[in-house]
Amino acid sequence: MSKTITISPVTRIEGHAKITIHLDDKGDVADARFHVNEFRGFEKFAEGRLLWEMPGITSRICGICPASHLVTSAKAGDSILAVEIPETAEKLRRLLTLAQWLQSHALSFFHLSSPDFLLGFDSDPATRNVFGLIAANKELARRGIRLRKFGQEIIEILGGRRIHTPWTVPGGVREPLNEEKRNSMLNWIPEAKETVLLALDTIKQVHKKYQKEIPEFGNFRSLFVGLVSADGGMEYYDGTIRIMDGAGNLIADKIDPKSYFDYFGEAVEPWSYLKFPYYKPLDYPQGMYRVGPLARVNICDYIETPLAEAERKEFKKLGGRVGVVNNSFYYHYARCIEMLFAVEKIEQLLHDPAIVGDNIRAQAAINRFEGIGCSEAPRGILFHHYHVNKDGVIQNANLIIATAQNNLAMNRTVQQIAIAFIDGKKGKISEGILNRVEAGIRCYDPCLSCSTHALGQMPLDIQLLDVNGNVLDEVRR
Amino acid sequence: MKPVLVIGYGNTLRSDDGAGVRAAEIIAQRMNDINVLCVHQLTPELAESLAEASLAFFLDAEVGSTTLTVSTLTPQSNDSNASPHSMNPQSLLAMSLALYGSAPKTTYLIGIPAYDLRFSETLSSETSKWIEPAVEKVISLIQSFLS
Repeated sequence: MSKTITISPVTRIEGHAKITIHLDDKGDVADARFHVNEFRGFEKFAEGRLLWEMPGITSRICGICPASHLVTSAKAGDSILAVEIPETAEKLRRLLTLAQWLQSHALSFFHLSSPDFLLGFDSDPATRNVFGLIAANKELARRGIRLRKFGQEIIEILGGRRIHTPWTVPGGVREPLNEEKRNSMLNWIPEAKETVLLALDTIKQVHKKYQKEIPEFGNFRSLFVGLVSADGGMEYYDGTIRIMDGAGNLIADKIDPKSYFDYFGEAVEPWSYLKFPYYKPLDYPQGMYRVGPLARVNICDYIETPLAEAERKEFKKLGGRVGVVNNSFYYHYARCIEMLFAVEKIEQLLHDPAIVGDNIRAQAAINRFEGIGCSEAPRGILFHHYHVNKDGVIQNANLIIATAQNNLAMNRTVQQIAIAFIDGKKGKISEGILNRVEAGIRCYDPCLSCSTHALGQMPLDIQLLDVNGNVLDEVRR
Repeated sequence: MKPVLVIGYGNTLRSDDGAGVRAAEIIAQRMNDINVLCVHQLTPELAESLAEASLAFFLDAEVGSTTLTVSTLTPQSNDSNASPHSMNPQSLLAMSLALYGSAPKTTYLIGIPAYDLRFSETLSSETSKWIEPAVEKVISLIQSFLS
């Protein structure tokens, strides 16, 4: 008789989810599914609102990466206004985007995933949290908080508040940056760099410690998708789309983000509110791809800042002969490399005289009825696609969110971990197994509030089901 | 370093849930030399500010209450679900103590009655009438402390 295991709710992720593990009649794991069971419908209620309101509205999708929605929405607006924004405005938006990466990655690495790394997958769940982390490594916990605060302070200084600032607008940004505020940001750089280097050192120790787990944490070939600059460098604000396969072959390159719908489709399954984007030429579900830090570090030819570039070269060695890292556990390592890049690049931008310029907004009326904005959010490539009427009223909005684009890969990861670690014949889920499955999901740092546009809760459920769908065991926390 | 910290928290898009934020904004207008923070939710970064304060206030909306409530808080780190997104005041105090070795000597939680949590950027009339008493209570406690 086959069975199903359910993990519900999944903890230390952004949103509410459930995992079911399905056993066959021999008691072996036959399938595993990552269910996202929240829905909010931002795309629908954006209809009828003015284009200029969209950055402010869509930033409300998420309390973690509102700045990414702000920037991407404003870029869709730029396209509809048919303007090229001033140099200062672009550099300020770039600064905001990197600050968003930094604060989101710091949260993921130091607070959501470090309890697993430092306390162990089998440690007492009552202490496997931020307090356990403080007890185990106070300095790391304190530095993580400070690093996140640095990212938030940049966002607050630029936009006037830490989250949901309406600072970016179609055509540019609302307020310039002055010298005094620039200098206050620069004061953070040495400490931020030290902290990220500590994070890199920590993750390398984690790699040695978890040699048994790592090979089973989403280790499979897939496509990788992200933005690169004109000459193939790591890109986060502009650029073109590159698609690489798990063997390092360029499947497509220099794709204009405005033609994303020619390449990517969205499938739905009846058991999840989270859509399943796929690469159309390979069809569903073979067109599985990954986005975010692992993809970005894999696909780029170089990183423009020296310390991050040196780390990228180290990272590529993990990919062996093909130089592509296919194991999702290394999302954490890629995330640390991106934090280092963000700190270095923020420093460069702040030293650029144009960053304190006062020409920050191009003014125009509605010149197109359709616009697509694209940027790299912390979790991966993000699209905002709007249709407007002649008055700038939104007729239709489509948001393709990074977490959703990892949905097929997250399901595959859960399945792989379940097969490796769950003994279905026992009909029970041990705490250590539960946490390994959750930790597999946390590699992707999924933001379900964004991806389903859902109200954020943090819990996770796991259910164990037999072949007839009967619940044999259920764990909730 | 300012010895008094006031944290108003809540979602200002959910009507009365923003009561703590509203009261904190008024306190900031009326008092100098105190540190007032208005936030959506309690996050770990606040621990550093708490560590620098001798007297702290958390101003929150309280559903089901019909009167202003004033209670003192002590650090408690037994929240196994402590999340970097949504900590409670006691956990935050405990984090301040654990990370920085200090926490405010006295911490108050001021609960403002909340009646309507639907989508709105304004407070209900019932909750609005509790804002001024909350502000006066906090200012009174601060003045006693400073004197």
